[in-house]
Amino acid sequence: MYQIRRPQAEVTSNQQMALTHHENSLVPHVSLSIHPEVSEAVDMSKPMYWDRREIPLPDKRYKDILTPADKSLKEKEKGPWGQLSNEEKLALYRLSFCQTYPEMNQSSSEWKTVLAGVLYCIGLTGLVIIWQTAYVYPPTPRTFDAEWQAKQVKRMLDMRVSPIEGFAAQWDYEKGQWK
Amino acid sequence: MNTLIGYDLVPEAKIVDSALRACRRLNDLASAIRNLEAVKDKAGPHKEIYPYLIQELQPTLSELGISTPEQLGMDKL
Repeated sequence: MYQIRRPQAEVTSNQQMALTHHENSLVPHVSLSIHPEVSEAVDMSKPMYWDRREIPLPDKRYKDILTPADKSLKEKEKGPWGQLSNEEKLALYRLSFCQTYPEMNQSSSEWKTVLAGVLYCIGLTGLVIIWQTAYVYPPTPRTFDAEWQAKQVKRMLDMRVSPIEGFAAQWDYEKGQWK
Repeated sequence: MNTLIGYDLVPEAKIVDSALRACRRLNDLASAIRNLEAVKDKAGPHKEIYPYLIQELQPTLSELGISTPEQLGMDKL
């Protein structure tokens, strides 16, 4: 059984045997009360409702349980639609569908949270690296000293490393300076 | 209707007209309005298609008594 969280829990007509998943074990138990925000098992072998741009008419209506007022509205729907008021038409729509297309398509600000999380993690990593350079790394080798580097460059120039287009080509040997 | 929306096109007025009449036969106003919304969504960035479609469908809409989503205020969030 598949667990989903439903923001508005709608009671389906076959809710007598709900397999609820507890922390440690899968225990089937009879559950007749539905609380909002409770994870409930969804039977995916039956037609399901979903709001999708590409599926305007899902396999089933949104609201399964109709109040007597809803039922009378449905009866009125069988007559000429011109007699329905705008509120009634809206009510009929909301019976069959959860969200309108604009509501479905609206963008969320989730990207800001995601970006913040990413930057935060990068920041934490930066802190770890700073601590590492201070406390973990061994002393830098002597080849990194400025004096050693200068001697190294001199040796490379004396060897004429890449004299045509590379390193030594940039050094002006007559004047003793970089070109 | 779902298959039709799955295609990369905006249905012609005649097709949407048949769909609306089918909804009338099934006594389903909500589906009729949903169809109109879906067709508008299909047009995507081409904002001139939907008003044209509504203009073509106006006789049917008045005959069947279907309100457009705009008339019901459903296109605003």
